[in-house]
Amino acid sequence: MRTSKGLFGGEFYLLLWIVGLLGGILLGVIGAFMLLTREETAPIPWGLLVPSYVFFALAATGSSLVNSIFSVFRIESFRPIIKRGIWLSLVLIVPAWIFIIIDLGRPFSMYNLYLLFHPTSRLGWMGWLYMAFALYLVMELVVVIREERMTERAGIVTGVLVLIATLAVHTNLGALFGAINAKPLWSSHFLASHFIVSAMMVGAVFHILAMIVTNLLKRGSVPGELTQLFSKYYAPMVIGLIILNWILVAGEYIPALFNPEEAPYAKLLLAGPYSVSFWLIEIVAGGIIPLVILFSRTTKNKVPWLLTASILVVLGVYFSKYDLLIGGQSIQSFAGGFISYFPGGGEILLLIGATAVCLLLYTLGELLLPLEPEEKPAWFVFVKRGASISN
Amino acid sequence: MPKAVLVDLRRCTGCRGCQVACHQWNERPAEETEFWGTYQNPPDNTANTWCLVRFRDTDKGFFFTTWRCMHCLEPACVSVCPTQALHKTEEGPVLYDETRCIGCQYCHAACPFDIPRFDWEEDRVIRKCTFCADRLAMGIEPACVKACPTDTLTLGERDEVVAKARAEAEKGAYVYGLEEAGGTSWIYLSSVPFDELGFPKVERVAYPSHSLAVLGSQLGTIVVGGAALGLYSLYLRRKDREGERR
Repeated sequence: MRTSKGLFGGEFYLLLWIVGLLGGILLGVIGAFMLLTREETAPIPWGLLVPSYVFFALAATGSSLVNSIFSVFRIESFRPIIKRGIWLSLVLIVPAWIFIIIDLGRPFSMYNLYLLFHPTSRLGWMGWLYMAFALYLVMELVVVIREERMTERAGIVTGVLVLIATLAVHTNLGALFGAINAKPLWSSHFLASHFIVSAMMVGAVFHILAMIVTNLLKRGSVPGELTQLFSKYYAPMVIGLIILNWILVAGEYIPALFNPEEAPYAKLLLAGPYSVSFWLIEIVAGGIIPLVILFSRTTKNKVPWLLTASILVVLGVYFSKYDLLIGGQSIQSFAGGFISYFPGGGEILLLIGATAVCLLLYTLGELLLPLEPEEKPAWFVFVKRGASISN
Repeated sequence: MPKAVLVDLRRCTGCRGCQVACHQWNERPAEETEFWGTYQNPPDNTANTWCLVRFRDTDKGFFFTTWRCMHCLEPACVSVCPTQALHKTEEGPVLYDETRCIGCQYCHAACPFDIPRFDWEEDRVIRKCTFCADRLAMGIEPACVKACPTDTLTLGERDEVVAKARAEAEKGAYVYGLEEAGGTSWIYLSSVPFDELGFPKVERVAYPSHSLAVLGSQLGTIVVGGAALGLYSLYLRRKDREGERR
C-alpha cells in the first residue's frame, strides 16, 4: 500500500539513495585498505579516527540515555520514539567499531583484547562493555518490538540493563582519556561527566534528526505529535545540556590557563590553531545558535529550524571532540613544540564510508523492522511483513 | 635487585656512541634522514631509534641529552596495555611481547615521556628501548652504557644510583627521575634546570594511582548520572500529568 507523499514513496529515489550509500561504502573500503597497508608514521598516535570513534560512541550511548526516559522511567510521551531510538543507538555504534578496529596497527590480533584481558586497562574493559551494550540493546529492541507478547517488567529489566551498560561505557570512555596524566588536557576527573553531557546532547539531536528526516522522506510531513514532543521535551533538554556543557568546558579550560602544564594546550584551543574551530564551530555554531533556535517560541516548533539546530549541535559536538583529542596531543613531550596534524586521505575516506554504513543500516532497519509506533512484527521474531519503507 | 642507570649530562659530549651502539646491538636499521638545522638526527625517537641524542641550544650554552625509555617503577604503558603485552621485570626493564600487541598505541599516548613507537614499516608492533635486558641477563651492561666514552652513563643497583644522585643534588646538581612519574630507572643529573633542556614536565605520581583516583570518580559519575536522569524523568512525569489535567 502506498499512501506516502515523501521522496522515498517512489522506489527510484530510495534505490538512488542506497546506490549512493554503497558508493560511500566503497570509498570507505578504499580508505580502510589505505590505512591497513600504510607504512608512514603519523605525527601523533591517535588521529582523526579516534575523535570520530568517540563521537559515534557518544552519539550511540547518548541516544540510549534518551531512550531510557521511556524504557526505564516509563515517561509515556517518549513512547513514539522508542523503537526507532533503540535502532538508532545500535546503528550509531557500528561506525565507532569500524574506526577503532581499522585504527589498530594489528587489527587481526584483536582477539587478544578478549583472550588477554587486562583489568587495569580502560581499553581492555571497552571491548567487553561494548559487547554488553550491543547485546542488551538487541534484547531491548526485541522486547520493545514484541511489546504485546512481553510484560512491562521485561521492558523495564532490559531498559535497566541497557542503562547500566550505557553509563558504564560512558564513564569508561571518559576515563580512557581522563586517566592519562601524560596528556594534561585530557587528564581530568570531569571528563567522564563532560562526555555524558555531550553524549546526551548529541543523542537527543540525533533523535530529532532521524525522526524528522525519516518522516519527511516517507510521508512528506512530520506528525504534530513528534514536533510537539521535540519542542516541549527535547528542546529544553538540549538547552539545559548546552549550558551544562559550557559550564564543564569553562571548568576545564579556564583553570587550565593558570596551570603551567595545561596552559599551552588550553591556549591552542582558546587562542591558537584550534581557536577557530573552538569558538566558531563548538561555541557559536554548536551552542549559541541552537540555543537561540530552541529557545525561541517562533522557531522551536518549526521543522526546518529544529533540523538546523540539530545539525549545528552535531557539528559542534564532533569538533569539540576533535579539538580535545587532537589538540590534546599537539604539543611535543620533549621541548614542547607544536605538532601539526591534518587527517590523511585514508582517514577521510573511512569517515565517509563508516558514516555510509551507519546510514545504510538505518535505512535497512526502516525497510525491514516495524519501527513506526503502530507497526507490529509479522515474522521471524521481529521483522515486519513486506519490506518497504512506505507505509 | 633492580638496576638503574645514572645519566650525568654534564659529561655528555654528544658523540652519539650510545645511539649507534643501540642500533647495532638491537639490529635496528639506520634511519633515512636529512639535515634539519640541528645536531639532532633523526628529529625524534622512532620505532628504530630507541636511543636518541637530543640537542638543545640555550642561553647557558648548548647541551646534549641521551633519551630513551625511562623504565618507570610503576609504568603507565604497562597499566594501560589492554592485552598485557608490556610488563615490568624485577630487574628494572619494561619489556613487551610482540605477539600480544594489537597496535592500539595506548602505551604511546599514555607514556609521560612519549616513548613507545609503533613500527609501521616492518613488523607492525610497538617498539622501544628494552634496557638491553638480554645483556643484563648475561651480567653485562646495556650497549649504550658500554659504548659511552665519557662515563655519562653508569649502570648500578637502583639504591646506589639514587644515593649517588642525591649526593650530587646536595652539591648543586639538578636531578630528574627520582620522583617523576613515581620514580624511574634512568636518573639524570644536569648543571641546568631540566625544563631548560626541554625535559617533559611530569607529575610526581605514578600513573596507576592516578588511574585509581579516576576510577573512583568514574563510579561516582555512574551513580550521579543515573540519579540525574531519574530526577529529570520524575520532572517529566509531573509535567506530563499537569498537561493531562489541563
